[in-house]
Amino acid sequence: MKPLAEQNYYEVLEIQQTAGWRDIQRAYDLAQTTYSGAAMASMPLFTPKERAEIIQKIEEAYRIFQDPDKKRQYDIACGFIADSDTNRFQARGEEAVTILEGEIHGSALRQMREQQGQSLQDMASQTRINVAYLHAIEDEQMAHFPAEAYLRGYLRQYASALRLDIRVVTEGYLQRYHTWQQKTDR
Amino acid sequence: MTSDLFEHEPLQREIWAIGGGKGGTGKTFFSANLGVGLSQMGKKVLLIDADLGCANLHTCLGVSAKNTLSDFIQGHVRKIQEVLVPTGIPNLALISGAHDYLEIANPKHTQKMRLIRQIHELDAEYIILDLGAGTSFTSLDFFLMAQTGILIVLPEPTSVENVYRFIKSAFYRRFKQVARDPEVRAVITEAMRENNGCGLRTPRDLIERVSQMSSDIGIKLKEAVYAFRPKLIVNQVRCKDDITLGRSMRSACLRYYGISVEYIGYIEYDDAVWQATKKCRPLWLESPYCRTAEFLKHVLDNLLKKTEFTDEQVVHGDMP
Repeated sequence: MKPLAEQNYYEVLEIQQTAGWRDIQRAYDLAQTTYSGAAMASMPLFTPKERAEIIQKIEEAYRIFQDPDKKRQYDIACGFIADSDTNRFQARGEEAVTILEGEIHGSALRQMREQQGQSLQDMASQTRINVAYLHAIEDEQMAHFPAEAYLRGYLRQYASALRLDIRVVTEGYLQRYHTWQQKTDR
Repeated sequence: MTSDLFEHEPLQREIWAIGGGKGGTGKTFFSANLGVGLSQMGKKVLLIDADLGCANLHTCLGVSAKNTLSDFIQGHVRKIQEVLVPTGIPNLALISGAHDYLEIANPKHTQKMRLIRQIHELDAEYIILDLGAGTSFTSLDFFLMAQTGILIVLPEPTSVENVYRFIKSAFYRRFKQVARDPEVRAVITEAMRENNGCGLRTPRDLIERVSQMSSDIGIKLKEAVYAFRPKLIVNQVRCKDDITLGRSMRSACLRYYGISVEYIGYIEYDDAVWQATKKCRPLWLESPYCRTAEFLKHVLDNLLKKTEFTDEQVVHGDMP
């Protein structure tokens, strides 16, 4: 492996250039766990200064990769993609904006989740929400929902796990839920 | 039975060595159970207790051996086959390291070479070496001799530190085997000291220095780095973060040593292991359907398929 100073952001995060958002997020989480604080995996090998440098580089990489535009610019600057290439992330980002507006359907949430390659089981272990509730949210089985306060909490966690706008998702989905409540007179 | 088992020349022979620095991490447990697992798949397996100073693989299997590895090392018997003992488990034989004298814990180079040569001639499909704790030259040489070196780590700082020390020691010993030049070897010896004061902190520093001295040897060291791919198992996992430790150590080893450690699985802390050990029975036979047996199967599967641990192999439960 090259010295840290010579590594590109993909090497810093130990991911492929084809990595999707989920891989990036996981790599970032792993790097944080490995090199920050009193992490026993890195303490015996690296000095506190070296670990701080690694963390700084990881944060830098993550900041760039979080933003589809910045990631695309970085890829072009490094010659990883040509200027004319359509960046998958940008495409995904635009889709996300068009889908997630106003009243939000469960199917839109499922689509977002699947685009990021997350299974319901992944989501359940990440958010610690029972997989049956996650199903109910995506399938809009509204009669099976818990009390609204809990539902709101679940939606927040769901949105956060997929890095979606928490407010847009929560309000948009609840709007749909309220419409259903009015229709069924609940 | 044993002589029948190892009568015919097998098509392929693979040697696995199980080490990891610290004592009590589960090396003997894994050796015995992976051996049983393989034998149940119909493979001809030989377990060798290479923990010469503190052998107890025979106890794990509930057998007692009249002839041991020390009889062979000391030259009381000529052929290593003469110290093979049956285990009562089909396809599985043992060379016990029990009843050793202290000096046998550090056999001479010629004794070791004779042992290694004869191990290579044994008629088993899988030979599993249970190594002793620590970083003795004997353990390192056996580890380096094996096609597959397996390290067992516990999720605690002392164990992690010892695994790293083992990796470093094994790695630098390989460097010394590769580099015959006395000047280069002197630099490698120097680099092994933690605070060597000559700017040789990581293997990368060392390789750079050696490459300046001799580009040929530099290339050989780089090849040795590439070829050195120990496998890692995290044992006695108690929480989800412990599962991640394997991945973290993989990352830290790549960044620091430049070597690719392959994380092949974990095993949860389980009283069933302790109970099986108390009964002197391998867990694979004693409780074949317990959670730990499931973890063991994933580890064995990864070893055979030469794959790494994946999230799909997480056994879901109530872990914090």
